[in-house]
Amino acid sequence: MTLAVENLSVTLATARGPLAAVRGLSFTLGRGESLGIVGESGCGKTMTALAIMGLLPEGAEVGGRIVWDGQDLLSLADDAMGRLRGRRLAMVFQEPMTALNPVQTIGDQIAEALLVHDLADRVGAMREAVALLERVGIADPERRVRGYPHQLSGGQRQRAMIAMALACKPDVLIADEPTSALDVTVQQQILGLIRSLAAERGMAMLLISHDLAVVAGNVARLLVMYAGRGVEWGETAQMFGALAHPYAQGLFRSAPARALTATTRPRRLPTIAGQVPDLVTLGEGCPFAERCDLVEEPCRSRMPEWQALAPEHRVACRRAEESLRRWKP
Amino acid sequence: MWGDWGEIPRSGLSYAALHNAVFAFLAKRFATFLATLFAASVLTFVALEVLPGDPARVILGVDAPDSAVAALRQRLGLDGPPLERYLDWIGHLARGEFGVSYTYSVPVIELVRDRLQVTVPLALLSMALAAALALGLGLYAAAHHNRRGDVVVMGLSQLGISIPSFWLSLLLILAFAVSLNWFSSGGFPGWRNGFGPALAALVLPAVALATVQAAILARFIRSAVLDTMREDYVRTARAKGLSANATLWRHVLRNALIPVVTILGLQFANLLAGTIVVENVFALPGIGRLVLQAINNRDVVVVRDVVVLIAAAVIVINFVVDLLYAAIDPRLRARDV
Repeated sequence: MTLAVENLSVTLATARGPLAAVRGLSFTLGRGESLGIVGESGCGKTMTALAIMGLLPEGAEVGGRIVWDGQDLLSLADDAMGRLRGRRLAMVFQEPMTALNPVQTIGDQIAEALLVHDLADRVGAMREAVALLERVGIADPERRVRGYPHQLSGGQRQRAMIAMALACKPDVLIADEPTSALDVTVQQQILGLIRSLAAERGMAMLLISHDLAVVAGNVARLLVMYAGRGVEWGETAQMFGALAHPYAQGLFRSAPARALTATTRPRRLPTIAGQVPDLVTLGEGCPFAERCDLVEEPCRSRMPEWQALAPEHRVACRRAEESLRRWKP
Repeated sequence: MWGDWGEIPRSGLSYAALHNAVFAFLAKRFATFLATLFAASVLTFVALEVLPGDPARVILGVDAPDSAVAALRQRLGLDGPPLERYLDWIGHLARGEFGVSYTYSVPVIELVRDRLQVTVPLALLSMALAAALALGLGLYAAAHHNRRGDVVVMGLSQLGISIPSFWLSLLLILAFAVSLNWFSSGGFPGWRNGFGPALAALVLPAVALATVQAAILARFIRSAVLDTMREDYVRTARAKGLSANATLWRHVLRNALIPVVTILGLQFANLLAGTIVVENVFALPGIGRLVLQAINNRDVVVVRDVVVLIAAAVIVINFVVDLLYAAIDPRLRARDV
């Protein structure tokens, strides 16, 4: 069962006019595969995830197709989509502090996922909730199921969120910045947990992050987004050996971990000059054109075609060859 | 919900520590209770002191000789210095002794006991009406946010807030008592003559009181529900596969009730005051009518005792509201006690 996103566009209504949050995005995610989507805040990562889940904010317009199990999810009615949500497609959100209902017990919230889809009775669902909490590494799960979110730490809450998402044994797990709100020491534990659970259950995983380091070690394939568009994708190892898009290179260079290991003394982090374009007024050209040092006149007027750099590595850049020549991983 | 106190240790509190915390909390609340009653008693006493009109003169009439009035003043204990009379009054109150009405020659506590049989059912009935109406309208408006249903409900609510309750009472009497003859236009048959007629006598006054309260409450419920619908955990519930309606009932409503309960408590206290007007329009022998008549008769003993009793009732209601918070929101159970 492949999840195929084809030419997806998401347009949000704002006071200043329509905002193109996602434009012409395509990718596939096969059974048991893992894909990371990387890009900075506002690049359309979260809107892509919400479009797949059918949970876009009110007033959002969506185009293209999201094909899964032979049907276009975008054409499904809300109740039909509801039967897939949580059951076949599950999602873990960024903010564990606010993503759990403060007035319901952890156990009730996990059990609800099973009860909504008629996969268990109340007693069975609670027993399953205890087993799930144990599986995601929460100590003393029999006591914790009766506890409330405020009694758990951020890391524990995210584990509970993961338990909730896994409850119905979904085929696809979408994790949107699952560790951004957590301490660095907890981040790797949570990522390791998600990865091992995905492998153990044969789940496809879509891992979304602004942090290349978070994604790199945990997914087989990578998609870099900028200002609502996909700009480069490929197999993770292959891509890091030959990162070709000027934006992807800049994103890689400005990662803090690299800045610290490159020299013995901490140095100033490299940044990408300029600012993210305004998505309300952005034209048809390459969205990175205004910040790109290799920019040519045609870049500004038309989005570059995808070029194959390897069988499983493509980049949407007219100057990919020049850019690639200067890349030192 | 109180039963699980023993099952889940909260923030590492031991049983003994929890008991101490509960005791400290109750002691603090009781101190506040006494301080508020003291303030209410001082205010009431001062207000009645400066109110023109001599109770003895009112009782004996304008033509009574000054000597007779002076004698009555002495008998009623009205001739001492104000501080002495104040201390005498609260001294008796503290021992649970209420005064005896000048006009009725009956202990105040007996007057109040009779009147409560009207006012408490009236307040409860109108609060229940207001809450049910506001919940339905508020949820409907929130679910139809910025669409026609929302605009209509908010328009009706604006109208409801603007209508004075005495005028609405008169309209209700004209429509349902005079024209349709469904209800009587006033008076109260008493509970001893059957539950049905007594309840029927309270319907129109309750509607008159509930309309304004429901209009205000519906607005609060609407905005509380809208705020809550934007919370991350609502999206989580949808991501689990819950329908929009199921999410509203299971996840939004209880969280939205937390701010609404505050308003509900304030409104209930307000209702006790609101009954003064409505009880008079419908000629209901309740607390509100008792106070108004006592003020007209300069029956100082009744006014001051009843006002302090109402103040005590309001404080108790606030305390119940605080307990309701803890019942709704588990975060408050451990933190504030």
